[in-house]
This record gives sequence, structure tokens and C-alpha cells, in this order.
Amino acid sequence: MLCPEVWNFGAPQYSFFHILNLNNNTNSIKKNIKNRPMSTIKTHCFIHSVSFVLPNICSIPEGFCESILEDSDYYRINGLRAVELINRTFINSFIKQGTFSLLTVDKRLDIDNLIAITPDGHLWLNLRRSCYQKLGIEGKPTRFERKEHSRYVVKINLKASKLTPGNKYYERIYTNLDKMLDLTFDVIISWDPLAERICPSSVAAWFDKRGFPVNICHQQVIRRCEYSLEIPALVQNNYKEFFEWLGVFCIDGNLINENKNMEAQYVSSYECPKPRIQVGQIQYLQFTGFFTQKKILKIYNAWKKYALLNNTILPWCTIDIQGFVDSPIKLNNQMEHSFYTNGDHSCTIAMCPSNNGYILRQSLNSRRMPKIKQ
Amino acid sequence: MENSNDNICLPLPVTISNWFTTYKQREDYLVNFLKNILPSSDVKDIDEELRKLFPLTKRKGKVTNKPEKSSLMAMRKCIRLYLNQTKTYIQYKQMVPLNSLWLGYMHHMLGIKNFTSLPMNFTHSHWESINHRLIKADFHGAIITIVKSKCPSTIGIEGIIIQDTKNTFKVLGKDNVIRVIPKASCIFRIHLEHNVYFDVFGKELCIRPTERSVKKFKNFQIPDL
Repeated sequence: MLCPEVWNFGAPQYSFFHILNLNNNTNSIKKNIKNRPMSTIKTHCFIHSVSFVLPNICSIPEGFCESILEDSDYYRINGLRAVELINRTFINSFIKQGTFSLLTVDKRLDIDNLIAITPDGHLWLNLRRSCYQKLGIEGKPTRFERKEHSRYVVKINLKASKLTPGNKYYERIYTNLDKMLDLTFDVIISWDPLAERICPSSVAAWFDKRGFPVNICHQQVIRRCEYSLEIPALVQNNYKEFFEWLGVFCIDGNLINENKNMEAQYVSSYECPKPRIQVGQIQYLQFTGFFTQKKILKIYNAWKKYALLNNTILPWCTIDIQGFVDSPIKLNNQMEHSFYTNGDHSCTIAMCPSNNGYILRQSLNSRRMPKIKQ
Repeated sequence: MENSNDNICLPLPVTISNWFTTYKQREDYLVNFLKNILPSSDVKDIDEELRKLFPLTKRKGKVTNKPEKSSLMAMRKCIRLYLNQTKTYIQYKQMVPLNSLWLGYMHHMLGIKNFTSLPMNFTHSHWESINHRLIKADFHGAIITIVKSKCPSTIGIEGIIIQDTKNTFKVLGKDNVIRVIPKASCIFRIHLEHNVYFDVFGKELCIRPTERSVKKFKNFQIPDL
């Protein structure tokens, strides 16, 4: 490039998927369209934040918040070594009984080494090339850089029966993970036990006994209420503008036109998409922290129940689920996630409680390099 | 019989011999014909044009017989070591004296009595000369470990080097299994006495040991597998 066109760089690519089922046709040709929101939510295994937008509601009942926040504490362990996760007692007590989720924090996906344990019992190690070549456990090169092989993914099935002490496979993995003294991570963990009577904090007690510093973490709650606002109605043909408005609202953007003269002062300004509904107040509720797959399903069901209960008041209601940008896994534990220009993977569902129709929107990052036109 | 002999030795009748033409005669006839017909400017090119060849079918090259390798293979079979079989003819404990021989050789090669007095980093004055001697040394009988490799299953293999070829090491492990390890993809750790070891890139050693003693090594190498 003699003279790069610095004004002509394209925006980083995203991929959006929309599923429109607003009229809730029961004779729909597409199968399972009713269960699509549920199955899409199930594909997220580590969720960073959940947020709700509920228009025309005076105040959110405490019971709704309580049902989300109960038993939702998670734990942070500093300096955890990967060898601890191969421990036989640990696997038998926590991974095989209930669902255990683990994710590395404070590390960047494209640069550092990461580990994660998915709810189905696989230990994923996302390693740099130098670390992989020292480690000695079989893995695959990352599918995002096939020519250079700068990162490798090692996947160990913790529920496999061959992972028992005395077995050659176990001994090899144990010695190889043990010799890597600098492979330590700060992780967040959460455990959903099978039986109700077992407290989820027993996993924290286990790591505490092994000698690691464990801190309890609570979900952060953000509540906001806006008064006398115009909101767009949920119709099939303007769903893109609807989601744009929703995004501006969620980040507390400036939606209010104080006086009509303000519009005349600017060449263009943002205005609420038509058709519009005038409401007295609109509630915004956000929980940020670490949610597991099981908890998210519980939250989704609670939200749906609440929405159907108030279906005469609510014109529409939304739930938005954001995944971790640095998580090494996306989409139902099958695919490798990567952060090139952005690490989004999120899902928004806008539901019409009156006829149980919905619009589902999934936003995933795209790994295509930006095209530079010369 | 004499009659038939006379018949054979007689010259052929004139009616038949008139039909004969030699190659030379045919050629001269053709050239004369062309000289008469063609314009004068083209006459001098006739010889050249007649020499041109037009291949109408595919030419098959000569079939060369490759020299048989049987003698070389037979020799290899005679000295072949049995690989990766449960019944091995060489045991690790039989090779341990070889290792001690090699350590004595290294003492002699490096010219020092105690390996712990080897220079640790490049600031030492003898660094260059020690490195030269190390790389020219023969490694048969050395205890070797693989620390880093492109192939993860070779990491952790430890043993005594039995054979050193251009691209591989044959290593005898403590479990009496002989493993062939390619040099190019690994970093080797060669153990000397008293917990002294040195790490070397395999790709620098991809030379036959006889040639390595005379080879000049480049000063600049990229330290990457």
C-alpha cells in the first residue's frame, strides 16, 4: 500500500441471526420453532450477564429478583493449577454428580493460556504454541489459524473411565500437567449439585482444603427505571430498528427529546421508530456475574412465567443474555471461540406475551479479517 | 549341395537389380528435384529443411535399469536392530556401561575434570570453545530426554542413544523399548553427570555424526521449533 486509505476501513464483521415468530403460527413449517428460544439459550454454557426490559411495569416484584439471585453465588480461586482438576476424588464428587463449570478470568483469549470446564465434563485447555510443545498431551491446532498454528486446543474428557490412577493415560496426563509449574490460572467456578440438600459451597470448601485462596462473589444487580417514554411496538417488519432502540435504552443512551426544538438544531438525530406506544414507565434490570447453563434455564422460565402472568399490561418484554468475550468455547461446547476484533456471543429474545410470539436474535462474532481496499 | 551353393553365389539377374536404389541415390534424386523446382532464394535452405524431424508418435525414452539395492539392503538387515518389539535383544542395563564410557569420552573431549565447572552463560570466556566441542562430539551412549516437540507423544521419552543417523536418533528406554525419534521436530536435553545437562535443538543436529565433526555451524539460528 503506497498510501493507505485510513478512511476506508470496513467495520468489523458481525453475524446476526434472526428468527421471527411473532404471529405464533402453530401450523408453521419449520420444526421446533416454539422451542427455539429455549434451545438457543441452552447453547450458552458460560453467561456473563442477563438483562430484562419490562415496559409499563410500575415496580418489579421482589420475588422475581429473589428467584434469580437465590443460590447464584460463585467462587473465585486464584492460582489454581490444572493438576488439581484431574484429582480422582474431585472428579467423583463434583464433576460426575451435578454440573460443574469453570472459566478463566483476567486472561485474554488470543494471547494467554486458558482453561475451562464445560458442564458436560470436558476440560478444555487453550494454549499458546510454546506451552503446548512443552506439555505433551495430544491436542489440535486452532481452526482459526490453520497456516501458522499459533494456538492449540487440548480437550480432556474428565468423565472418561480411563482417567483413573494406575492407568497409563492418567499417569501421562498427571505427570505432564504436574511438571508445568507456571500453568496457573485465576478461575471462577460454580457447581450445581444433583440433590437439593447439598450446598453448592462444598466445592469452595474442597479447594480451600487443598490450599488455594477462595473468594465468594455475588452477582451485581443494576436497576433502572425511565418515566414517560415513547417505546416502539413490536411488529415483524421493523424488528431491526426495534433492536437498535433496545440497545440504546439498555446502555442508558439519550432517548429523550426534551423539546421539539432540539430536533431542529441537528441535521439528524435519533428518534424512536414507528409505530410508537406511550408508556408511563419502563423498567430495566441487569444481573452481571457468572451464570451456568442450569441457572439460565431457571431464569428464563421464571421470566416467561412472570411475563405470561402480566400479559395484559406488557406490550412486549425482552431478555438479553451475554456470554464472556474471553471464553474459549461457544455454542454448546462444540465450537472454539476466538477474539479477533470482538468476542461477542449473545442472544436476545423479545416476546409478545399476549400471543406467545417472539423474535429471537443471536449476535456472534465473525473471524473474517477486515478487507482493506487499495 | 554344390548346385545350391553355386545358385547362392551367382549375381542376381538384371531385371531385379534394376529396381535397386541406394539411400544415397534416392536422396540425390530428391535434392536435384527440389533444386530444379524451388525458387533460387530457397535453394540454399534445402539441406537444413531436409534435416528437420517431425515426430508423429510419442517417443519412448530408453528404459534404464536402476541398480539393484539388494546388496545394501542385505547389509542393513545384518546390522538391523529390532524396533519396538517386546522381545528385544538389547537391555537397558547392558547399555549403562556404554553411558559411562561416553561420560569419560566427554571428560576428555571438553578437557575438564568436573562437569559442574562448565560455563553457564555467554559471559564466560570459554563459552564459544566449549560449545564448539560439544556440538562436534559424538552422542552414542548419551542419556537423552525430549523436552519440547512438535509431536506431543514424543515428549518425555528418555533413554540412551544407540544409533545416530542423519535425521533420527535410536533411543533405548528403561523399559527396553527402542524408539526412533526424528531430530528435526524436537529439543533434546542431553544429561551429563551431577545434574548438569544441556538443551540443543534437534534441527541443528540433522547431520550424520561423521560429518558433524567437520561441519562449520552458522552463528545465527532461529530458536524456534
